[in-house]
Amino acid sequence: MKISKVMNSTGLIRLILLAIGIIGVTFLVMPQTVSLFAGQHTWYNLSGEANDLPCEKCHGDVYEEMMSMEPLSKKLAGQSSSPHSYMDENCELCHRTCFNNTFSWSSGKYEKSPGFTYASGSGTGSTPGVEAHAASIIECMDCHGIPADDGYWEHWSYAEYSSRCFLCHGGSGWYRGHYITIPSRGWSDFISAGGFGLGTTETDTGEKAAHRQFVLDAINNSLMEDANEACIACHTENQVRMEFNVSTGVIITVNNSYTQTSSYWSVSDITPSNYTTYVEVKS
Amino acid sequence: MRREILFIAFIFAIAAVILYTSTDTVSLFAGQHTFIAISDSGNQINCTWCHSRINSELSNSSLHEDLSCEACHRYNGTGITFASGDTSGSTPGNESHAAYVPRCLDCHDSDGAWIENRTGSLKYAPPAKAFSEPDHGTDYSAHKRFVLEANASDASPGENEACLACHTDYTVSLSYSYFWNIGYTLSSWSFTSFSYNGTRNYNIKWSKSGAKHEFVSLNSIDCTGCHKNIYDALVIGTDGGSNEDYLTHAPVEIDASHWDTDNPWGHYRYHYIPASNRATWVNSTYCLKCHNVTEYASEHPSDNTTYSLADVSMDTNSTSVHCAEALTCATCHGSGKTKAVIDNPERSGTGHSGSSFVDNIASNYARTFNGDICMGCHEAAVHPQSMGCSRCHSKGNVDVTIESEPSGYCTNN
Repeated sequence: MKISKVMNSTGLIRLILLAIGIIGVTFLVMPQTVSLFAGQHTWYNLSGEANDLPCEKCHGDVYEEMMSMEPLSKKLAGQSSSPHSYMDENCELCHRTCFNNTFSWSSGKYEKSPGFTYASGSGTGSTPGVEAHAASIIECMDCHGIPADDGYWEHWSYAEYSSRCFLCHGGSGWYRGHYITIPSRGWSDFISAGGFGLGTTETDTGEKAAHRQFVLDAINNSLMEDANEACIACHTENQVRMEFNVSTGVIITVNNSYTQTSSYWSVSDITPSNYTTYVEVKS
Repeated sequence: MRREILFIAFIFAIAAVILYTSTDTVSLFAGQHTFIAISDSGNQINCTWCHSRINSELSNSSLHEDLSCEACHRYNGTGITFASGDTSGSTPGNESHAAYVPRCLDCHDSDGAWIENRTGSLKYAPPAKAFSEPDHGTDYSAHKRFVLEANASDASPGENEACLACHTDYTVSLSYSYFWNIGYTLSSWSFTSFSYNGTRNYNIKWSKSGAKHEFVSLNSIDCTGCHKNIYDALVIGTDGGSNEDYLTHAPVEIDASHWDTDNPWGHYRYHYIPASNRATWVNSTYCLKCHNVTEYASEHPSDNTTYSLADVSMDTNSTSVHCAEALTCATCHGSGKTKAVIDNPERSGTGHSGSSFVDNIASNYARTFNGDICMGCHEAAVHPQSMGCSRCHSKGNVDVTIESEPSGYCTNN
């Protein structure tokens, strides 16, 4: 009863006719099939000298962190000397670096190693990647453990770095469409993380470093590359939960040495004791 | 039915929005790309992010509470080059990167040091008396060997273990080993025999909060915390029955029937403490009476006058020690000293006044035995009255056995 009423509805008949008409036109003008992921056939041009891929497309959270360090206006004025602040859209400076330092447990120092070969489409040809394709998870000490290049990597002619010296060393160049000048930061030893006795400079003894063992244990830990756990713990806003186990006392062994005619007190042993644990959370 | 359709449509819409906005990958450790700017002057990496407990300890401290972490741990008076990102350039560290564990003597050396506190004021860190001098000062400092051994220990940098033990709330446990007793015989004030016997092992635990960064004020340092055996010797000793309290180490007690509260020097007995006050008056101040006469005199002007402490101080070496002098009774009571032994005119006999008896003990017997040799007669409880006065007071004939602290039990025949 209801169906017959509907079928007799003049309005519905008009609606059906309109839909058929639209579908017909659609079929007429869109004979192609539609890809599931729009844009997947719009290829990036890789022939530029440096990286042409927008890492932030996938790593938006990292990009946001990089952008949060300093106001863009300050960076455009060349006034930001916050570590890495100019690398917000220049991920390749770190993640496609030519620098590669390897810690040697036998020498206790960082030693220069050949850099990775990344995949690249610079120029007319192409380079297949070897150790990494687009990017590597770098070690902070790849850059911060270098006293000087001395021609080992010839980073000044490395495609990702060429003509972009100012981003690390200071100076002038183009950044986000603006020609900016950053105060000079120097050349040799200018970003060396010295003071751990790891060979980052000629004078790096680290003999008084309070956190040296933390760095060595971080190198020995597989959670992150190399010493990154230690670097990141202090130098970034990464949350850190630390479980300390510390002594709250000392046991001192005191002996009185004596003959009939002479005596002296001596301490034969001093041993930390009364260990207690507590948690610190850097948030 | 209509609600269900609307709900399904809503779910689809939410899913579409999520799919549209969350195509990015997410880093495993959030915040690792937010680097802390270190270009301003000073340290921008807040030590208390990881060391808040130490900050709390310092805020409860009686000393150093106004100092920043950097004042001590990035102290620039030692020639250490710390890493720094100040201004547009940077300084790689040499001996240390962020911080070092300082020796207390880095600041408290012979010159002292001016340190900027949290409010920007300069505060003077005074030299650690004696211990800051070459070779850690004279051997008269009672704790010099402790400081030397601490310096040789690798538990903390430099001498810090010794500093922490007294100057902070770091808990101290001590395991002492020393002789159990001595015995000697005198004939006409000359030793005819002497022996030392046994071993006493004495363990104490001076429990404190355990906080290494809670520094205690100088007048709160409790000598009896570590030297509880001496406290017990002076306060508890050995109960030998009625009127026989064997209290040793110093003549803290008086034999009321024979020894007056005054003495031949014409003043109240210097070492004496009334029984009712003994538990509280045996404290660091009491220790200073003998072990740092100069310090005690400066803190007690009245006693300084009464006891001629300015002169007594000259008899001692207290001006050249850190806190306590390693001494013997002869330091003050040897011949030629301000308080050299004299006879009591109210009593008969000559005793050992005017003789070199005390000097002989100091010269020919180990310092560790000196006090007990004297206490063999000067403990009030060993005042044998049944054998006549002359045995000791005129003839100098005694046969003594006396235990070391804390028991101090003694026989004198």
